[in-house]
Amino acid sequence: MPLGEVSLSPQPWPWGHPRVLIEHADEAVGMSLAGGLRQAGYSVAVCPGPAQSQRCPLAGDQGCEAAHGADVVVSGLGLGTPQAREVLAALRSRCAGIPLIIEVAAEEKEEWPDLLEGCEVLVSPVAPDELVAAVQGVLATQGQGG
Amino acid sequence: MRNPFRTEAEAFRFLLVTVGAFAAIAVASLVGGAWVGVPVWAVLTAGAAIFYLVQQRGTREIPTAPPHVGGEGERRILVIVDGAAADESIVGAIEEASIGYRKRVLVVCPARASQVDHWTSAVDGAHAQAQRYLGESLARLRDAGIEAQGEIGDEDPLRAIEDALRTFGADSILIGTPPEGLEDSSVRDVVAGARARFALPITRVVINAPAQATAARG
Repeated sequence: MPLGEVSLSPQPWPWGHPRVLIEHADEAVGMSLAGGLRQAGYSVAVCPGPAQSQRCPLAGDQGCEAAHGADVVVSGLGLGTPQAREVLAALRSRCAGIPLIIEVAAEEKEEWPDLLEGCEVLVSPVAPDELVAAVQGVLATQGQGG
Repeated sequence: MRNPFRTEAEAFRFLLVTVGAFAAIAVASLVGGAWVGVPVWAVLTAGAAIFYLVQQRGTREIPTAPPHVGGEGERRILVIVDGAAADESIVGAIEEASIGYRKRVLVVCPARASQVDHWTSAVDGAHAQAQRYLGESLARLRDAGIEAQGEIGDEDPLRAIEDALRTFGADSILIGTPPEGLEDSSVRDVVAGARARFALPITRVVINAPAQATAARG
């Protein structure tokens, strides 16, 4: 691993199910979305995503306990940077059984259709109520399927 | 600093490692004589310390929060009173955090015991002081028309918050601390640590009446 590239392993979830991991670079937005989900009965975790010199543990050897222990993962990191796309690719491959909700800009939705295939896609900005409905929808769909 | 025993799995892993280490020391002592166990113990201890430090470097706190507890129009507020008793500034912060909602308030006073207190088993003083802060805090809130529950919390304020979130739940956390200059660095660490660990609105409230609390202690 190159110098300065740090892989960090988040702690396990201390709370019960259902759990939603929110990845959002804007802390205030992430907390606002988390507040809406809490009101709807979900445990939440808010991850700001990897910093410039860091690597998301999901993309490294360690994995991410917060992501593996979640029932739904919401990614609001966008697709504009290679790091954000690496996180999404890692979520898709390593958390294949966990529903993914992706918040993207309208133009990103057109540009990266392969990356978004099979994910619930919301166009930003996403309101807390809209996210709650999406989470309820993917969990209901998963319940029907399995 | 993150508690290395936050989960049953971590505590069980620690137990297994400890049993294994003692077994290795015992075997070395039986095979090579009593003094052979000493360097084995030293090597194992150094190895465990290095492993722990490396793990600490690679661990990242992701803030989490449990679901909302209570009715839709209810706002639960957890008040941590650390190193002083609640005063009017806490009352104002509670009112502000619960605007438009029916409020439920839990006051937790961590029983802060120093390492020396633990070594000398003199933790009763810390518990008694926390009890005094709690009694004063509840009385002041009652005077202001706020009915609150209260309890003595874990000596680690972050653990006290986590315990309270498990039983009471909370939609926001107020951390009451003495003013700048009177606080110690551990109080600032509590606020920063809480923001790093809990995905809830966390407000630091400076308590302006530490003198009264000090007077009440004596």
